[in-house]
Amino acid sequence: MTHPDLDQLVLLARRDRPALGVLAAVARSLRVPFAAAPIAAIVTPSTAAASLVAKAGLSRLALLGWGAGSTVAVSGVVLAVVFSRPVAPPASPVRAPVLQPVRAPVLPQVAEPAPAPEVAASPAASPARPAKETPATWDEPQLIERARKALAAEPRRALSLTQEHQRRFPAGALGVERDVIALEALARTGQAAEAKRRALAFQAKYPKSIHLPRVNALLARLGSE
Amino acid sequence: MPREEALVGPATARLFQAHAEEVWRFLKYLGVREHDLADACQEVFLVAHRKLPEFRGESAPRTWLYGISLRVAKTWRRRRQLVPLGEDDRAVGPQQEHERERRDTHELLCWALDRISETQREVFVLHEIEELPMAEVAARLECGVFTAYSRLRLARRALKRVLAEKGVKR
Repeated sequence: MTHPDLDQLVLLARRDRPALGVLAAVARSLRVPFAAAPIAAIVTPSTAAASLVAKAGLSRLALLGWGAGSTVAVSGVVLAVVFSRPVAPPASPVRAPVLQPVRAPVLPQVAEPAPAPEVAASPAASPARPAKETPATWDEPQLIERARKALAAEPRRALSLTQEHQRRFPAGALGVERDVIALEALARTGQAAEAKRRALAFQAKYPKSIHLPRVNALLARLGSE
Repeated sequence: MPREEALVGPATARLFQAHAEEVWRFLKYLGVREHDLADACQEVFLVAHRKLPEFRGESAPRTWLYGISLRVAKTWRRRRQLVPLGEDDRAVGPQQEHERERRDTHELLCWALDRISETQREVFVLHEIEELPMAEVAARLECGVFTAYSRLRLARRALKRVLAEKGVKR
C-alpha cells in the first residue's frame, strides 16, 4: 500500500472530523445544545480529496464518509436519539471523568475469525461467536464508527460489527450507514456477488440517499472486476 | 432545549457550536490521544467559559480557543507520558510493524507528529492544518515570525524524514 506524501496527509488532516456522536456527547456533558454543522458548511467531499484517497488506495468510505456526508445525513437523527434518551449510566468508574459515556474501551488488537459467507448473507443471523470486542457499552454511533474504521484493514471485522449492529439496533438510526459499510465489507472480503445484490437492493430502497454515489461507485467497481 | 442548567454560559455554548470540530481536530493533531479527545475538548470549553470575561476580541474567537487548546493539549500530553505505552492506541512496537498498513492516513500523520519536537509540532499544526497566518501563529506561540518560519521548516523536514523512514514516499 502506498501512502500519500506529507502534503497529501495535511490535506486529509484538514478535513478530519470527529466520529459520529463524539461532539454531541461533549455537548451533553457540558449541557449545551449542539447540532453538527449545517449542510451548507460541509458539502460533499471534494473531488480533490476523493482523488487523493483513490491515489492512496484507501477506502473512500473510510476517509470521506462519515466525516462529511453522513454527519449531515444522520446527525439530526443521532442527536435526536442522543438528546432524547437519558444519559447512559457510566460503564465503570474509571478516573471518574465527567464524560464517562463517551469513553470507549481500547480495542484489543486481535484478529477476528471470518464469518462464514452464509452468515454474512443473512445479517439477521448473528455470527457463531459474537464479537467480544464490542461490549454492550458501545452505543450505536460507536459501533458504526468502529465498523467504519475497520473497513480498510479488517473488512471481516467490519462485517461482523455491522452484524452486531443489526442484531442490537435493528431499528437504529444508522441502519443506512450500516448497510453501506456492510456492502463495502462484503466486496472487500471477496463476496462480490452478495455485495452486488445488496448494492442493487440499496439503490432501489434508498434512491435519494446521500450515500448513493458511493454505492454506485462500488457497483461500477464490482462490475469492472 | 429544556435541560439541566448548562455548565457554561450561552456565549461559550455558541463558541462550542461554532468551533467544537476545529478544537477537536486541533487537539488531536497536537497529540491528545483519541480516547482522551472528548475530555480534552470539554476542558477547553470549560476553561473558555471561565476566561471569557478576559476575552477582549483582540483575536478571532477561533484563534483564542486555539490558545486555550495549546495549554490543554500540553497537560494531556504530559499526562500521556506518565501512562505506560501499552495503554496507547497509537503505540507501535517493532513486532507490530504491519500495524502501519492498518493505520489510516490521519493516524499516520499523528504518529509522525508524535516524533517531532513539541514546538515544531505546534507551528506545523497551527499553520499547515489549521491554516492560521504565520503572524497569528507567532502571536499565539509568543515567538517571532522568523522563529515560527524556522520551526515550520524544521518541522516539515523532520516529518518527511520520519515518514520516509516508515517507507512513505517523500
